[in-house]
Amino acid sequence: MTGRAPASLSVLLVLGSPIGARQATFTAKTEAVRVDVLVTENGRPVLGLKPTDFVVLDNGVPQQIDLASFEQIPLNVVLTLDTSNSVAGERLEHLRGACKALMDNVKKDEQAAVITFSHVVRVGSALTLELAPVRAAIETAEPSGGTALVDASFAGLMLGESDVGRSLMIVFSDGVDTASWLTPDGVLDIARRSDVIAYGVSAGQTRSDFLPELIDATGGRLFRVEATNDLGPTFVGILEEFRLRYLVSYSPQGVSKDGWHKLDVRVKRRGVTVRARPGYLAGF
Amino acid sequence: MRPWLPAALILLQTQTGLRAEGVARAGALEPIARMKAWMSAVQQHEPGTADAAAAAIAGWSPFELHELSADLVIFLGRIDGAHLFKPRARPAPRPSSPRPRPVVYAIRALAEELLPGTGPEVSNQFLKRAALLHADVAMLTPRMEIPAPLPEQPYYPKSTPNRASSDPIVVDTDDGVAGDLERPTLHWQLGRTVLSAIAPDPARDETVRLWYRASVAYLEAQERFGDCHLHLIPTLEAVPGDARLLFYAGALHEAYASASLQAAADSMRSRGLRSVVRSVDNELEEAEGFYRKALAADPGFAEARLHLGRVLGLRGRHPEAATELRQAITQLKDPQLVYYGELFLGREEAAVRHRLEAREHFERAAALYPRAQSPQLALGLLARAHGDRPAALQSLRNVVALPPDEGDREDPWWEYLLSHVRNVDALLDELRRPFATRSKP
Repeated sequence: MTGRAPASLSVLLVLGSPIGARQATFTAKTEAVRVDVLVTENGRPVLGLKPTDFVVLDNGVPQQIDLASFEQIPLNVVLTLDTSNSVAGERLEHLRGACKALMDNVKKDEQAAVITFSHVVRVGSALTLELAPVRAAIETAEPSGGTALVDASFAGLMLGESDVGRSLMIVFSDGVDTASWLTPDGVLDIARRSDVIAYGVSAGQTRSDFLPELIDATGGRLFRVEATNDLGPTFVGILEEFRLRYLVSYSPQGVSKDGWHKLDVRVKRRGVTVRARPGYLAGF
Repeated sequence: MRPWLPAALILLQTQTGLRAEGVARAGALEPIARMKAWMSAVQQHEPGTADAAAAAIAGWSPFELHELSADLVIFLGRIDGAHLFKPRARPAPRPSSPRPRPVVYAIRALAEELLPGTGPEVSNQFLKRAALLHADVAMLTPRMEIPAPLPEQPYYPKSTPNRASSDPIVVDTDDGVAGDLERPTLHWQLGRTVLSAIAPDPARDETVRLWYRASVAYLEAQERFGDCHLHLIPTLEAVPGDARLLFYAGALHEAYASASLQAAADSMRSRGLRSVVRSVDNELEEAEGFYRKALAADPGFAEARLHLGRVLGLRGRHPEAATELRQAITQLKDPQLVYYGELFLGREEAAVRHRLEAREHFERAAALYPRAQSPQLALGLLARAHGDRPAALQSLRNVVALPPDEGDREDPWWEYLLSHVRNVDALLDELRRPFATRSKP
């Protein structure tokens, strides 16, 4: 979308629980709305924007922007990786290499977690500042079985919500879901309520309908790759792009405290593309 | 535990494909010699083994099997004639060349060897052994690979109404992706053909019913859905109103509605092929119809009711689904089936926003199988959907705590679409036991 993107979302105050390394407590109270926004021009992130450059309409009502910045809140990176049978062989090696490159770019104060999935969802490592267990889980993942993409995506969203910070979930899959218990609609509903931003990397000829919908629901981006031999730059590029997303926050005014809020985030500049989530569900 | 439907064979609609006439005739036996060899194999075969008799028949080419099939019309016609007023109508494949009268007489004479006295006992016994032989060849001997030609054009215009043609092809699928094509075996058809001559009525014969049940169960258990589809259509005509077979037919269509087989069908579509797998809605409708027929034939068939409940839920008829599932749970004893019932009923309660009831059912499922991930994920989603993040995270912690090795996990959900044929070995054993001539070690 150019100029005025439909946009985005987010509810506030997801504070951790013992799953993550940084323990915290939860509150369901929505005090402010936080929206992760990517602004690009000719495919490149636009830097240097101020709060006054943004316009946020919450259910059509203009809001007072309190903050528009990046790198203010620690980053959580959740890898959700398809290791089903169809990934066996060279593709798995490429995936491991890409994850290693990504881990090399995670900063000291940033956390990471990994879920590998076939029909079995395995939480290889919960969010942690110590990246060794994450690396080990990636290295030891063995291909087998079907594809529980929907189940694993839900687990990834929950991991992303399990601690304070901005959470990026990178979902890699090369096929369609063949084994999940959870339904796509149920997980998409949760994705729309979550602050986690999902980026997808889809490989192979078989395309999942779920993955693009998940990406749209969270305001992330989907990368389709024909071959996996150049997966590393894609993974690293996602992390770099995520760091350049603006964190826009505001205290809702003139809108109801419950229910679905449609968000429309715009930037007062011509020729830019704005990507953010399409709304948020208040009261949850 | 093995995941369900990772690999399967499903049926394509085709108009072309290889005809039997076009396949290797070299070295084929003459009709009388072939019939004698077949009879000898039937008499010598030890059911449930891949013995020399089974191996000999397994080595016959599709051409030879086609010729045998044509000559069996003469052979079985003589048996019909001995026990019935007129021969039964059955498919009559045309032989590659017309049989001279002496050959016809000789084949009839071979059939008469099975007609001592006035009753059908001897011929019935022989025909049942013949059906067992062909089933064993299909199940126990290596498949003769006959790569089907990959068509360059779609075989059928999209408006074509019939679902399976006379020249079918099955396709191997893996993790939702269509792979190699092959032709289905002819041995199931031969088994059905010989059983059609059972006197006085094959549909009322318990061994015949058991043969059909065991063969369909085997094909579904092996995920050979293409062969199963071809086998089921004449099976339901041969043994009408059998609750178990109607249940299996429903389960086949329920499997067709699964994400895995839908994805495989989509994958075939992208190659210009059309499969017999239709849309999710159509397949669920078909499954519901068969489950209802199974329950009409046997109202106490709780497992059919369980599947019906799931299908109704998938069709969005939640209160109806919940009613069927509640009734099924009260009748089911097998923990695996009760687990499904609790999971499915939990989903139905969640669909109508009965959070507490849904949670209760998911927790019961989790208690039945503590190493299963599905109830934990269900509880997590339910909690998160109601804004209860701590409870959602607790469920995630429970998933984290599950054993990392697949072999240590136990989630029956992964096997749901094959759960109805979990007793296939017992069925086969029950079928073969009365015909065993050698005791098992």
